[in-house]
Amino acid sequence: MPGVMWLLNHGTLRRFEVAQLRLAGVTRIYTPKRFPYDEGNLSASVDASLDATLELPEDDLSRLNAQDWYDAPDDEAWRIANRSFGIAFVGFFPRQIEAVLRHFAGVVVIRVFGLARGVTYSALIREHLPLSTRIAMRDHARRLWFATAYDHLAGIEEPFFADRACFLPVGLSGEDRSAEWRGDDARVFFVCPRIGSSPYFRDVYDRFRRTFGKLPHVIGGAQPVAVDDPAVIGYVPRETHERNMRSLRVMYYHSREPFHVHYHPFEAIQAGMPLVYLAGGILDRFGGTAQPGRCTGETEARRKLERILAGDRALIARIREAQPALLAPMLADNCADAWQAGFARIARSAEAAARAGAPGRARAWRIALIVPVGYRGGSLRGAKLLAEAIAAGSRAAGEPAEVVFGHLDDASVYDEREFRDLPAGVSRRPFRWKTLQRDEARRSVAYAGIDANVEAPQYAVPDDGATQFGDCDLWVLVSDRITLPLLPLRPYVMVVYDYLQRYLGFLDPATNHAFLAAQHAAERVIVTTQFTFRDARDYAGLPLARLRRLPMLVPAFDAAAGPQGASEEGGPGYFVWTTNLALHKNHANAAQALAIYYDELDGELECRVTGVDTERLLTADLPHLATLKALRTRSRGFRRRVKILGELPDRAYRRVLAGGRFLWHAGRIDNGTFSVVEAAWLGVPSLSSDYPAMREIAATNELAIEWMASDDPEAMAAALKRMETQAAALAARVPSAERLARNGVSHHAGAYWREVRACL
Amino acid sequence: MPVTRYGIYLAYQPTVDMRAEGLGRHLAALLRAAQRRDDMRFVIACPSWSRDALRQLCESERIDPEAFDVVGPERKPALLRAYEAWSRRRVPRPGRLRAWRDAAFAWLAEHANRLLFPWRRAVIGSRSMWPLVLVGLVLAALATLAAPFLFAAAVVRSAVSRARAWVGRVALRGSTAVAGRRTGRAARELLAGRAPKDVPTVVAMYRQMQEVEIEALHEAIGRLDDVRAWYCPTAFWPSVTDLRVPHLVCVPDVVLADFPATFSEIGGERLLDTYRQIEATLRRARRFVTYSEFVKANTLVRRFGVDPSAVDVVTHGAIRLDALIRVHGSAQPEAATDALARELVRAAVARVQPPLRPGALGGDARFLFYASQFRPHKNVVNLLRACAHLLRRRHEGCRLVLTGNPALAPEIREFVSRLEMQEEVLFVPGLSPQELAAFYRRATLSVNPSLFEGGLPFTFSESVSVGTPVVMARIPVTVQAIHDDGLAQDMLFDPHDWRDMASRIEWALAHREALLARQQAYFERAIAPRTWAHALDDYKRVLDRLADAEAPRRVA
Repeated sequence: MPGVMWLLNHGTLRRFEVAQLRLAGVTRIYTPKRFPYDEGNLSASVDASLDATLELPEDDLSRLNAQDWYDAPDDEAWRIANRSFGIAFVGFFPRQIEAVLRHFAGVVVIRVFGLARGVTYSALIREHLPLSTRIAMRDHARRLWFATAYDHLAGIEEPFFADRACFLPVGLSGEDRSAEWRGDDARVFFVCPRIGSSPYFRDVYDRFRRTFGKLPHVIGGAQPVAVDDPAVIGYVPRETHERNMRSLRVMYYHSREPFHVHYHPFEAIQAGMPLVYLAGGILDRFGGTAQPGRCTGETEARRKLERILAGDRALIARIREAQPALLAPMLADNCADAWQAGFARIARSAEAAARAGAPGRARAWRIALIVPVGYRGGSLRGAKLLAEAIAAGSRAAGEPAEVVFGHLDDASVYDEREFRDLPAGVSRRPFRWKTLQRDEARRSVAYAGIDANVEAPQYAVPDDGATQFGDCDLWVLVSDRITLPLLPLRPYVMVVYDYLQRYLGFLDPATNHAFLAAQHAAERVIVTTQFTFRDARDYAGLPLARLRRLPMLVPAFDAAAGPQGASEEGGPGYFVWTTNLALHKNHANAAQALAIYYDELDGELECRVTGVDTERLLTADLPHLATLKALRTRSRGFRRRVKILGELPDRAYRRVLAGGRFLWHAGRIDNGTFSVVEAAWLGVPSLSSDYPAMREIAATNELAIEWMASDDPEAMAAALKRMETQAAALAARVPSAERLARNGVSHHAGAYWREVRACL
Repeated sequence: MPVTRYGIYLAYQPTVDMRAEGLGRHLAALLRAAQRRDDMRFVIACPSWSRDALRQLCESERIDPEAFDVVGPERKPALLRAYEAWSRRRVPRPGRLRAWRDAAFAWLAEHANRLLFPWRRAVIGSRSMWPLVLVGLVLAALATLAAPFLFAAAVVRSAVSRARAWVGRVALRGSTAVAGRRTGRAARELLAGRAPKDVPTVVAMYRQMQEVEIEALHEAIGRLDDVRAWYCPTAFWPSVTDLRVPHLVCVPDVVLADFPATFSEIGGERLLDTYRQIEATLRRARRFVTYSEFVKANTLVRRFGVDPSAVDVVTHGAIRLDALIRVHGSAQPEAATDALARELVRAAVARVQPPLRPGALGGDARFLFYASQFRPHKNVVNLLRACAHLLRRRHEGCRLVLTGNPALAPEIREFVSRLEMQEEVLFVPGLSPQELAAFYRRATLSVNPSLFEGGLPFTFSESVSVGTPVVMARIPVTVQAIHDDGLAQDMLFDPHDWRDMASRIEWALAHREALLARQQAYFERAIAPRTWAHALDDYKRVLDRLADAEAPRRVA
């Protein structure tokens, strides 16, 4: 019989199920030693007594015991688990389910105890489990069970759940103490935990107070948040609890839930205390409708409680005599057969899984790296680096993945030359965005066998003309620029570079919300600076559990491009202004600074402008370029000394950059620009706007940068003038190629692959 | 132990929700302190329409309604009941009837389907034409039978709709003819959805209704011989001065007098009328109490010429919120408390209408928190300016969460738009005390930029008690309350200078833990020792002195 990991901490349930597991012949049972400090986890406890039976080396056991099995145990712990156990019992906790499906090779048993009326586990799975976990559930259906506490739970669930349902009744250990009950304390015992911390129990409490508050009563149940009511006794020691169960006159049970019941009514019956309860709940299934303690409504309940409190011995006797029938289905002896039968099915599937061995993969992982918009320049270079990092990281981890580089199929944006430098092992696939209406989307996910809520009016899917990247295991989207929800065909990771809309306010709310919604639907969001990390947490509201900050990948630039710091043509030289047409590039302030630099400060250096679309700098019809155009007309110095080179081929760009005295980065704000690193590779210092992401890049790469305020053209112009004399000294402090290479792809590929791998 | 009864006099207008009022919270603190004592008991005299508000306040603040008595008319005036019934009809409610009807139809459809399924299957799969012909004939017969009924139903529906419109028009014309043109216009304005308080005729009618109500209230008070003295928590109600029993009027502040130009732009004549009421109270009452020496000296004595010997100062007790969310019995109580607070915040944010964008306030997000209604002196505009500066110039991206209701202060929403901060500012009005505690707990920093407060703003103790530091405006009451010069230097800013506010916020965010440690130490040393039980003792002492002083006069 395989060993069992019983990854729950409910004390009463553990006593019963451990006994049942032993009865079934399981000798090795592991239970967790840490559980969430969630205040809702009130019945949780730790039992280390089973550790001795495990026959595990001390180190392995310590490792297992150090894990939080409700969250994300480490890889080594899973290796030990897979070596030692064949079955894992877990609760309906999304993170726990996610982890166990991803890492545990044996049979997974999800224990379910019923939900409130109208709520199903099938719906909760769709709502709370990430797409990757739902796909894993589908893929591992043969080794997955939903162990239902009551045999009718599966009846309201959808086929996937119902087909994997296995009845494992919850049983109550303990002995019949009904003979000890005295009932000399003429008060109603009502159990209502978590009044101060759970809206559900707060409502139950308020309703009880409204309806029965005038009757003498005691309210039991642990209260993590203090309740200012003398009737609420909160947690009491075991002896006090037992004394209460012996002496209090009657218990009232409120729940009419047909799929869930609490333990305490059964404890009352065991203790011999009369139980008055409302009809319509699960107790009707257990005891029928003729129980004398059963009440069709609160009025009847109140009448019966009053009679019992007044000492109506006949009623008390009738209730006590009949109510053991309610307990019968819960008694360990009565549950055992059903439990053993249910577990036998699980054990058989575990043996089958063990015989089959760990499921191998038919092919290597295939990761689609999708560039959703027509990025060029630095952004495209960043995407290529990312593809290279994933490919290299997977190779280094010994599980080489195929990386498919998806880009827009748009000849006006890309020509073939753009992708010549794609790294080895990365294939290329052009695509167009395709929009599906809701019904089409619903059919698509159904055909893909994916259980997903399809509620938006439209969905987008990257259409490669073949499988819509459905042949890839994971999509990695380079940026969040997606205006429609992605069709939930595949789980996706999103790399978010910045939240410029926060600072520059250029996005309309609908588009902004669409971008943010796309991030919230991602399995993981990767950012590369602390600045963007903070925005992702504070502005986008992404939970830390799904947010990762990885090192920025720095491009390797070979320095064999010409002499540094001197103009090719001789003369005073020039500096390079790298920019594009985007709003955040701060053209107005930069142009004003240039005008001041040339017209007022007699600036000596020429300014050479390059970057994506910069050939349209003076012709593009964009409002934020108006100042630049006007200044060019007005300022003679600007006209004469500012040379717009446009977008240059890579080699030409390197040559121009290497010949410059310094690089000028005048943007207002973003996630930082690689251009200062590229300049450093060529031994060229930079003058940059001062904002957090640039500071981070400078610190990470130990760059020699002179800073300026981007909102003050006078200060910008003064900084340009200052650089005429300081650039040479600054150039001497530019870090070496070896130092810069420390942030290259090869150094950080492992970190990127780990995050991608975690989503597979 | 003999129990002494003290009265609390309330004369709120209808529709006031005490939970949202600072006065309500003050009252709640006193009632809560009193319910733990066995030597005193409060009796609250209030108009019939305040009974529900009082009950809601008790539920929200977890006060035992059995711990005090209520006197005054029980049944609301018929006209008010009629208005309430009409306004309830105006608010679209999730139709329970419709839900039942839908469920019944669904049940019928399901069962009919189940019953008909074998027949339908047989007909569809039949190789003979006869079943099809038979079904066709049955359907045609049913349609023929149903047609007259369907037609009649449509006619009746249309007639009822027209009749209702006609009755409405006639009623309006009739009311205009009978009650005069002004009443008719008032009715039309009400029907058009204008708030009653903004319709002068309605306000005048309300005044008359209130007079009748107050007479009944005073009669009820007059019958209570055992109440030692009465406490009126505000100066809005000059009628309290008509009482022939000892009464003490509390004057928390008169902000209208402190910000005359600002308040002149809002509230119109109605607010002027309120001011006149306050003036009347201050003129006619004999004994006063206020929350701070500053209000006593500057507002009551200097501005309104009240005799200083007639004014007592009773400062607030500390309002601690930690008991509402502090989790006990967990291995890691701080983390468990955070988890509870996070859940409460999530639920409150999910309730906001219209629904907010995804991640509007993420569970791990940092945010600044200002719990206050929107009033001109609350200085929200400068806080918004400071936040915009921090975000755009200093790249400090904490969001801002406000508890004021923007629907009641369109100028705030407008200013937020002007600053293009719609995505940065979150409005979460209508928080329960526990939710308020949770927001304080989750906040990175609390801010109170209010230009004026009667006593030390609750923000300090509310925030620090749950473990969140706070920066506040440098105003007389805060300067008086924070005796530690170094701490005052670090946590107070010039509320008129949003740059100073921004710089204090930025500093506090950077030194959060150090500031919190000092504030917690100061709180435990200087603020927390004074509880509401102490404040209640002081109120009791003032009321006893007043009762003793007026006893000979009453006998005479």
